[in-house]
Amino acid sequence: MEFLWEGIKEAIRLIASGDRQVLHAGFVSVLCTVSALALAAALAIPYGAWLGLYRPRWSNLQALLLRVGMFVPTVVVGLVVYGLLSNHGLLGAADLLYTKLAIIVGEFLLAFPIIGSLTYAAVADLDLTALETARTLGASRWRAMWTMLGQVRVSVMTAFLMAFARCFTELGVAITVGGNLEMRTRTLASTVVLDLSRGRFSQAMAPGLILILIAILITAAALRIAQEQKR
Amino acid sequence: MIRVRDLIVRFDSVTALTMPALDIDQGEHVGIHGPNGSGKTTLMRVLAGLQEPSQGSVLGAPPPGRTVLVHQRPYLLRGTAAENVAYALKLHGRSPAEAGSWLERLGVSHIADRRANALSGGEHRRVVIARALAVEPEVLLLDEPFVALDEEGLETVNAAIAAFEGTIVIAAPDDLHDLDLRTVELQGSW
Repeated sequence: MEFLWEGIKEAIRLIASGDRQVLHAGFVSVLCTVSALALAAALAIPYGAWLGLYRPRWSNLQALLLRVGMFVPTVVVGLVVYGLLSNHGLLGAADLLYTKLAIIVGEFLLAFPIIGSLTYAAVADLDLTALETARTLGASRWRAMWTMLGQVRVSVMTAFLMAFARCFTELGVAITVGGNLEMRTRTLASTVVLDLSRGRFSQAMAPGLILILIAILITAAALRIAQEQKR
Repeated sequence: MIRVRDLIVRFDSVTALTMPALDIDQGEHVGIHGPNGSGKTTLMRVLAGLQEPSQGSVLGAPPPGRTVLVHQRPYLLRGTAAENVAYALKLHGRSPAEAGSWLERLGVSHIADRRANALSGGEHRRVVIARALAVEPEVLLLDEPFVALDEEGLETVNAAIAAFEGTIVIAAPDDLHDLDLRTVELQGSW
């Protein structure tokens, strides 16, 4: 227990002193997660809504694939992206392997199914009358879709938070296609693993504490959103 | 003028509606009668452009936005009564500030800032009808619009609808008691 407590104290000291490696790992984590989420949200929210509201051909299959995508292990996603970006891969010429962009691509693939699938489920659950009301009042299909997204905005925000949690804490993509390169592609989660493998428990605790703090913030935000839903 | 010819709507093997012919003139008010399952709601949805006919044609019905359907179980969007009316006004490029006057016509201006989920059944209905009227539709379709309305509410809604000269009003059933109403009888199609 004392070992753990000492580790926590040292971790707090590292964070408070502005340890460059921890701060940079935090920066990489935030940059990659926010970029991937912004891109995923911009595409997955309209896609999920379109799928749920207008039921295009093969919509059930597409919804199923999104759901499967939610549960694919991060290391498998990393493997797929590695296959695409490695020298022999389809996008090998772009020379993106072991860069932040590679991590963003991988995290995009993690976030897209979560946001898409949960948005789909939320709008598919809406009463058909809601959509027809918007349409009969004169909304275009596109405008009606945005109106319906407004009706389920709490669910969409929850989906966004879930995707954020998955991307921010993931390890598989960061190591597989990020390469865990010091001061370049090292994220908070990959820092924890590396420091622990080197037997540096206190150093591993510092990014670990930040991850715990983020988890608390996400939980608080989710609870706040749940309260909003009751209004 | 709306012309319905040889209209049939089927859902899988079930025929939900058959209507050989129906002509409705501009400004005419029509009450649709018929037993449960005779296709009143289906006819409304076809006229509103929300349901494709399996067979036959509907000519002259303006598109959604100019034809407005008030559903049997109407839906109010999240937000206040005034925001619901404002939504419809904005869709037609009009000022959301007009919302208050439309709620006033339906006698519910005092609940303008009340959230949709806090309205009583009668208030809910009146706000829905205010929202539909705010669009100033060419065709107004009312599917059992007067459920939950008390006598005073019924009078207010009737007066508000009657003020729309030139608008085709089709209601099922015909509770529009102060209008010069033509009745159309639907037979069951099963």
